[in-house]
Amino acid sequence: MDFFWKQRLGFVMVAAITVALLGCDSPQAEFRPTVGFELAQQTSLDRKLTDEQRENVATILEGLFGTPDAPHVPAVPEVDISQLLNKTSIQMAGGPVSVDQDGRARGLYRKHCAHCHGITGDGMGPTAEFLNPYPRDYRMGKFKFKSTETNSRPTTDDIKRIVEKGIPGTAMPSFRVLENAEKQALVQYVIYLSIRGELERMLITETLGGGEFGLEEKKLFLSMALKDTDAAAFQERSEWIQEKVAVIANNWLQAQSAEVPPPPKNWGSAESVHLGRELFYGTRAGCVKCHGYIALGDGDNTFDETNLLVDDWTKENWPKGIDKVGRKQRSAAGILEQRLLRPRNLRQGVYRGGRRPVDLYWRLRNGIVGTPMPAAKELKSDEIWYLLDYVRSLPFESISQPHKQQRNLKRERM
Amino acid sequence: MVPLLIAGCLSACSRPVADVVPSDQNGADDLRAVLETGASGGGSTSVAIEPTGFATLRGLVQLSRPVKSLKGLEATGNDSKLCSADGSRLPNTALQVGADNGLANVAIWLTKPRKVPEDAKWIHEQYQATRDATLTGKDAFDQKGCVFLSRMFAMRSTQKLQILNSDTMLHNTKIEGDAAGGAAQANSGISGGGNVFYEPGGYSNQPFKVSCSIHGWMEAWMLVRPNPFFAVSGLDGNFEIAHLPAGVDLEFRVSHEGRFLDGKRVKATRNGETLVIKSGRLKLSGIDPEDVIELKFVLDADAYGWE
Repeated sequence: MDFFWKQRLGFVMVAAITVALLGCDSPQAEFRPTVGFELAQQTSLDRKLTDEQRENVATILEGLFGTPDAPHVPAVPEVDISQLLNKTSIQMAGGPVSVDQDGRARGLYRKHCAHCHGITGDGMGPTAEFLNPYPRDYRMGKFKFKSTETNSRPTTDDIKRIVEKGIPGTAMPSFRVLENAEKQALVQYVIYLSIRGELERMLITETLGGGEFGLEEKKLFLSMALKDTDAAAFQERSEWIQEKVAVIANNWLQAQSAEVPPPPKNWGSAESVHLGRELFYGTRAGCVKCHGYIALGDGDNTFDETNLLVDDWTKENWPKGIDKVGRKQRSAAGILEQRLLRPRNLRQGVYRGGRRPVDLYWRLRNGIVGTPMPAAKELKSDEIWYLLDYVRSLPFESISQPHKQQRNLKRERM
Repeated sequence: MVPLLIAGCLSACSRPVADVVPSDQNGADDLRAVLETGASGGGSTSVAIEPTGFATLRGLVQLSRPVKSLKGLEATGNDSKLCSADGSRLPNTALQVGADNGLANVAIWLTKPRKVPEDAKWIHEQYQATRDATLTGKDAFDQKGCVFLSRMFAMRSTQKLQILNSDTMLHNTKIEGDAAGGAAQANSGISGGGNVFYEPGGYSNQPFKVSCSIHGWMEAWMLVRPNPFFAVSGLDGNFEIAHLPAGVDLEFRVSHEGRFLDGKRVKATRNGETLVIKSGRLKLSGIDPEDVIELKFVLDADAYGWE
């Protein structure tokens, strides 16, 4: 072999080794901290978490919830958490992808969800940055498409509906093909991650001194050492944690679909659509402000550069007036770039939270949590039904179907 | 060169992620055992000492020197003419200074004891009467001229609040709430002249934001407490908490615009004597029945960067 080929072979081998080293590195599944929230809290509370404090928060969370490979359902006094999180289901959804001795699938969350929603449920999986909208971050406890009142958590059926049907107009697919027990397991695992995330946020605020205890700088919230030095504080904070997990779990357990009164007799008529139109353009519902005069989702508010429409997740991760250092910190932690929120283009007939009348009723009555879409609390139920009628008529107007417009116009002239 | 390029390409393809925080596995196991069996041991957390009567807490918040008002807010969008007919800027209430450099919208609230017993020894009968009140009319939370009329609003978690819209155009009152204390989040559209009701259902540990999604410059703060021991300074910088439990050690927190007052930038005194205030925390002890405690906070305008 001459020198030329020897040199080439050398390059190829080095390249192959490099690729092998980089490509074979599969990081261990671990829960990651909620950096955006921590940074926002640090700014408002004018304090920073020390490494020791961070470790303490991670230790408390691990004690209660285990790890991604060995998830644990926390036992909470006076709350039957098994009604919400079944140990078997959580173990079926959590952990690495595998098959158990009886041939049942394991690691369902990692197989079907984690690539978008992330191991932690932070909505920052490897594919998340390519998606619009970004996948949901469960840790705030806010879920957009639900049947409950504004302040309530969704019901487990609400989450299951999303898992089964997916979210039209987004990258969230339907998982209808999974077995019922598998879908239930995934729903429970989402709730498990959400409860863990909510408690993490509370622990960070407490550790930074912004919570109920007004913790002094650099102090740990709860460690076994505290039991020896200040037994009363240890007990009080232990009880506080139990109480908070119970409250979060109860928020889920008590969630109930909001009542939906029957539509008025003239619902579905031209009169109903007309009354809905009046509300859409009027000042009581004011839909036109965001959804626009032609309902394309291009209302005046969407052009106001001084008041950009963003959701609560973006608002927290990219607060107004953030400086260069703050931007760098967030980017280094993989926080997804800021994206503006677009009100729905109502002429497409694509409704993310479901297209059934009842789904749209809930959207209008209770708003969409985590977004600027408000609850129409002032409107009577009949008015909501009228508004819904008008919104549902929009995709069928001539203007919404330009390819059919000529034909429609001809028909309308006849 | 080629391997370097390949390595560069491959490493550039991966998005950075937050560093994993190491945990103490043994500590986690121990805490699990404690938290799940309730074997936390230690002393009782219930309040053992009882008040001996009631005192009054009065306070004054001042700036160290006169300051300029903050630049007014620009009303934008289609409603701008309705918000400001003559096109002038709207008042920026983030810094409201009255006579003698008095600072408005400073909130002070009791944090310890953490759970105040609901009995007559702790809570004066005058407060019992308003425990479940619905705050309406002049006590309501209102907005006019595309500005929230209360920059810092405080209420009890057991009360119900009317949210008014004294403007002619639609507003959207978005209340952040506080998940830790259970104060509800809300987001309701309110037509001109209309109103909705807010029931917090829980409390907040510190003030949280209220905003309007339609008019993005509108901003206010709300504090919801499980007891009646809180106050907000008025335009003259004065505040008062009547019927404060005496004979027990108390701890308060003080904040302005969501930031705790701290000794680095604030000089605090109690009846003329220096008082330690750290991260908004303020301890008061030695309170006798019928006492009138006079607090004074002087905020260093230079340290705050106010012109």
